[in-house]
Amino acid sequence: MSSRKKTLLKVIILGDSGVGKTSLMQQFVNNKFSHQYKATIGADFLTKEITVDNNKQVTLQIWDTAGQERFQSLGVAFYRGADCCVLCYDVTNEKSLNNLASWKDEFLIQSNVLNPQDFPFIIIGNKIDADDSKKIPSLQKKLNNVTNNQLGGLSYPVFETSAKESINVESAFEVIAKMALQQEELNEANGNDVNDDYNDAINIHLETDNSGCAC
Amino acid sequence: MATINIDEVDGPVQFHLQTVVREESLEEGETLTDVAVYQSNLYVGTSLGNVLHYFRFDDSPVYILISRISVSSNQKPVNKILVLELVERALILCGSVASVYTLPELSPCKLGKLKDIRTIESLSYKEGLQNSSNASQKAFVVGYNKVRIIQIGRDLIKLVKDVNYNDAIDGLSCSAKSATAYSNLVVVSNKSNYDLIDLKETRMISLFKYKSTDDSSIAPHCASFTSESGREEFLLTIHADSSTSIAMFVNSDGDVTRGTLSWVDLGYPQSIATQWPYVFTVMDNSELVVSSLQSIEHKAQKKLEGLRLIQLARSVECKDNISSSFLTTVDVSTGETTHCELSTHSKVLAVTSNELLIIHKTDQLSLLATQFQDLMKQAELNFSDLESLSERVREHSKAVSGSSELFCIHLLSLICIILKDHEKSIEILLKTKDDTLLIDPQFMTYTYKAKSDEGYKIYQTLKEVIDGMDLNSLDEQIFKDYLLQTHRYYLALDLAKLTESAKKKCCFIREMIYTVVFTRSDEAIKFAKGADTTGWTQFKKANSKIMEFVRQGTNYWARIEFLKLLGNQEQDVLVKQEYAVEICKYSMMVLKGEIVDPAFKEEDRGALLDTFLELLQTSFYDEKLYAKNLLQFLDIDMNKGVSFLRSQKGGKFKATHKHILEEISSKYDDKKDEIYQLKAEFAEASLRDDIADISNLEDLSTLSETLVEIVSMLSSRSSDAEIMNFQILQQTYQIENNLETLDWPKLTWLDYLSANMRRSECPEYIELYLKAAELLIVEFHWLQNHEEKEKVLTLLSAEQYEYLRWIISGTEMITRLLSVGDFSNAEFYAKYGRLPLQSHPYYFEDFKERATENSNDSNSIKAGLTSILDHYLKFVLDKNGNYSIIQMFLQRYGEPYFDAYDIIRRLPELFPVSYLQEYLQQELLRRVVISRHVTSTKALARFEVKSTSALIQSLDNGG
Repeated sequence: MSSRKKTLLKVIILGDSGVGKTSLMQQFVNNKFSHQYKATIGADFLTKEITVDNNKQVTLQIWDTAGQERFQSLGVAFYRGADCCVLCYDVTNEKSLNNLASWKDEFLIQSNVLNPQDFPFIIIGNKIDADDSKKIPSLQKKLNNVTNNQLGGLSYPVFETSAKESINVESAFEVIAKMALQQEELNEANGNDVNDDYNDAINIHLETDNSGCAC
Repeated sequence: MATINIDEVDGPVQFHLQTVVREESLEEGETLTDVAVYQSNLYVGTSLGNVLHYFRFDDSPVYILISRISVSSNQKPVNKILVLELVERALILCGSVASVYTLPELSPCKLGKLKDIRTIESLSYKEGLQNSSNASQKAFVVGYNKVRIIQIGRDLIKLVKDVNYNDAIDGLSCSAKSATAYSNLVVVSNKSNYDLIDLKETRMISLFKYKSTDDSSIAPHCASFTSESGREEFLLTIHADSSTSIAMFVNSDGDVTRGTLSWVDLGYPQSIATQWPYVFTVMDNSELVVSSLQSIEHKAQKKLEGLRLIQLARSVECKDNISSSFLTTVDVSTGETTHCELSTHSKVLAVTSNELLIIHKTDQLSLLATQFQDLMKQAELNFSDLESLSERVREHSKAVSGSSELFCIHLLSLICIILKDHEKSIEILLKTKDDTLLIDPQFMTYTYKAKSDEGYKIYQTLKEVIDGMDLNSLDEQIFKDYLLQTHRYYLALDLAKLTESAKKKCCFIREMIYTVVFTRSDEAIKFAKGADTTGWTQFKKANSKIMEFVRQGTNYWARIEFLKLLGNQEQDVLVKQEYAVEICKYSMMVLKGEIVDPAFKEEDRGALLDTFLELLQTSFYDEKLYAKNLLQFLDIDMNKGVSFLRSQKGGKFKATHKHILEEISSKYDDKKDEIYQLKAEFAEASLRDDIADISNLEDLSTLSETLVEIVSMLSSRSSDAEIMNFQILQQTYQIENNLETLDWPKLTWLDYLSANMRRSECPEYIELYLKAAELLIVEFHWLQNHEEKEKVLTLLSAEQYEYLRWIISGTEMITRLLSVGDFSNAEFYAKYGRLPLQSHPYYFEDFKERATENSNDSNSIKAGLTSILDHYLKFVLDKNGNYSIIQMFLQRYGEPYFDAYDIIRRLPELFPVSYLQEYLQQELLRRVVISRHVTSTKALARFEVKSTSALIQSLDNGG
């Protein structure tokens, strides 16, 4: 149902509540970081123009979604037409790491993408500025475990970032933009009609009486 | 009336909840439910199945209830009033049954009823679809398990399409796209979900749930708006939990367009309405929340109990009470207020149980004016804020027109004045539209507490601010320059095209300039005679007020000059004279120093004296007033006064002038000669006028008077040099004119003087002498008038006037004339008994012949001539003179006054006869002629006697 301009790349950031999705987006787009936590309700997005592959100008429309479960039913509306999905976890929160798979599955179910196995995901472990003592023990091992076992063994790019210290945020989004662009180009090459407004519509029963009065 | 304030980056925004109608006639328990607008009609449904029909007349600021229609027999609530403009019908949903009514009067149409309906909505159509007699309009009906497309004509309803949709609750049509006349897309909701239905393709796309519980009190709310991009979007509310709810934004493609709007700790919206770029929601807890559709943030909230929002398809228009109040004007003199009506409109309404309110964005005018009021209330003026405000007012003034623009211009001008921004103030104050100044000059005069005419109305809001301002805080120069530039503006306009109002304003400006700008006489005079020259003649109505003002002050010089300007253009001679009297009075006082005008300098004195004299000459018609003022002037400046009198010799008021001269001659001894001369000149002028008017010398009335003046003046000349020169001339005359020379006729004494006057050394004296002689001859010789004889003789008692005294006395004239060698006049006197005038008389050129009109009788002539002949003979004999003298005398007078016998007898024996030859021959010839005449006469007499006798005899015989 999308009729977006193709220079616009829609990126969805998913992850548990409190992993720093909003902070990553704010740091990337506005170079700002707030120490105050405020849970995202529903979703919000910011846009930023960047250059990809040296000369390609794209606009990233980054959707920051609510991590809280009660808003997950709205996902279908936000995910539709996404070009890339960012799965976020908190390097100090093991549960958030473990939930990455369910976020991926939820996305694929609700977004109704045509080729789920080819859809670009990227994993971001945020809050690397935290004390090592607070970080998940054996993080790399556990991460590998999640990617190999829960995420289907696919080798998604993984970035460790700090939205607070602005570490790796820019690099991560550069990769995100490239992947989104590739997905976009792939869709075009496959002839997927992104302008088909009703590719996820269902037919409903019709009763017609063109001549009769409705009274 | 509630107000909601929102702070935006580009300035404050304010919404007002203003009552449109308050219905007191509702039954107990009856409340307002739905509202619809059609043209000037307002339809309000109630919970007891009534529709209240209001109408707003063109000349009324309020909606008036014109009918109350019951549309439900069983008092079901009116849930929806759907106006179908194209077919001029309304579908009214009562309970779950909808009926058709005509617009605007709401007469029922017998088209049947639509049943089992949740709601009805019009299907959006493209702008431009015309309503015509066979027109129809589509609507969609949300039934319990169906969404139906129906087509309503004026006289029928047709079902177009039925689409199954279970548990339907609400629906909203998307805008029609360009390719279709009607929209194919509707957003609908059922008991848990929002969906988008493509009616054409009969497909549905599920959007999302709006609640996660089975709580039936949570109703879906869907509102549409058009975003900044011009595309339609839908706001769909979602219940998150008991305290939080959010709104999603999607377009007609189902794509999310914005981030979510959340109401945290505010519960769930009970009603919702949008007005770009804001969304209004009334929450569970009665909070009215205003949120930005752009920033997805809450901007304001206010607790308002019992309020429900309604989004209309068409705007309600009503009077904007707040903005209108700023346009209220007040008569500065009577305090009477005049209200102005500014309209506002909005598609967002709020209803209480019995009240319908419009939620409208406060006009920028109100915000600006309020901010201005607030700034002016501060103890210390914040110039920076005022400057910023002025820019916003300026921008707003460009965006509005009519009464709003006018108010903004006034407000802006006042701010600029307060900011002492000279250039901008003048620029705004002189703004025009259709050749008319937008700001009445009285606004400035009121601001500067100068003056305002009766009937001037000023904005009440601005008046209150102005009244509280300290005049000393304003820049007076702005006011002055404004007045001058406005004056220039008016005078540059075509007078013929000026309206009466414009003329009045120009007059007002003129008045103000003279009272405010030019406080010194010299400045005011310069302006009056320069830039305002035409002002005095073309905008006269101000003149009297200007004069009234100047008369109250001490600018006497200006007063004089202004009166002069008025006098110059005055046609009524009496009024003109009144001006002149006032001018002379104040001129005199200024000149004498009795009153002081600081601007009047010594070097201006001459000009003021000239003004005085000019008026004396041109503007006085009353002789007494003239005399009084002239005498006063002579008191001030005798020289100029006398010069003036001299210049007026031929003018009017001669008698007055003479009288004045009499009066002043005794008063000013040092000017005696000059005054005598002037008097003489006046007398002469009178005499000349007199002579021009008469045909008989006897009718002259001014001769004696003139004679006295001339003689007086002559006698007053006592210069030794003049007298000596004159006496030398007398002696020279006697030498040059004696009998030894044979030139004949001899010059008379007076002609001799006349001939030698220019080359003499006392021409003025001789001229006076000759004038006196001429007048004496006419008075005493020709007219024999001796009234002034003694007086004149007294005046001419000096030795050198002997000849003139002879003229007066008239005795022994021949002897006396002969004694001074005036032979020609002696012979003339012998013949006519009077003297002739000189060859070129001063006054009586046209009467010269009078001298020879009547001659003496022959005996007198002969006696006179005989004495002259004796005088000549004596000279010839005693002085051995030339005999030719006698010969020439006899040629002139021998015949007919002397016969040969007389002559021969008088001549000495030795007198050579040859000198008598000619005379004697003439005498002989005369005698022969006489003899022949006698003989002829006798012969004729005899012949006549003889002829008469013969005739008588013949008659006798015949008879």
